[in-house]
Amino acid sequence: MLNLVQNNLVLLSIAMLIGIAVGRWMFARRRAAPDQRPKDSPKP
Amino acid sequence: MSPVVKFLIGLVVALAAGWVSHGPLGRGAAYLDGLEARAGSMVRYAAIPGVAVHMKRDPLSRTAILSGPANDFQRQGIGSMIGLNGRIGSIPGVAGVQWTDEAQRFAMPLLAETLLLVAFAYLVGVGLGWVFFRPRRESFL
Repeated sequence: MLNLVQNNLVLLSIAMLIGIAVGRWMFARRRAAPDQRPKDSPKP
Repeated sequence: MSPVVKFLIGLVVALAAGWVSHGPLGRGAAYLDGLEARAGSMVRYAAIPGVAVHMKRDPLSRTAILSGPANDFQRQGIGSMIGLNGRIGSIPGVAGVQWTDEAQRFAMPLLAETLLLVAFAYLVGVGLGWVFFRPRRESFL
């Protein structure tokens, strides 16, 4: 099995990077849009 | 989009990459070609006339298939004298050895092993993503 892992190191690295990207997609906090101030608030 | 859907989309993409590498890019067959060459040199070293070896191809599997006339001593060996089964089974990457005149045992396809490894690597990646990108409580101190 170790030999199979060594043979597929590039593929497994790609799968791990996909996993990290999906993890970021799943868990990252959504940022508030910049123009969501109340309308009557004073402009900076 | 729910996190489960995102997870499944990523899993499908990772498994598709594994299948493309194994099949269309030919890495699975090339891997078995290398194992077959090493097993063939081992059979030639044993110098048993009429014995041949090939890797299981339908489906691709890391099982070596031996054929030809060989007695139990030549196959199994005895004591410290290792037989063909032991010699070929000790090649890194070979998962099992079968003879054509024996009952065929189940051998896991190489594609299934590859996809299991890919799924495991994907899970590790999602775990790392959770470690690095999970929402943390913000401190106002």
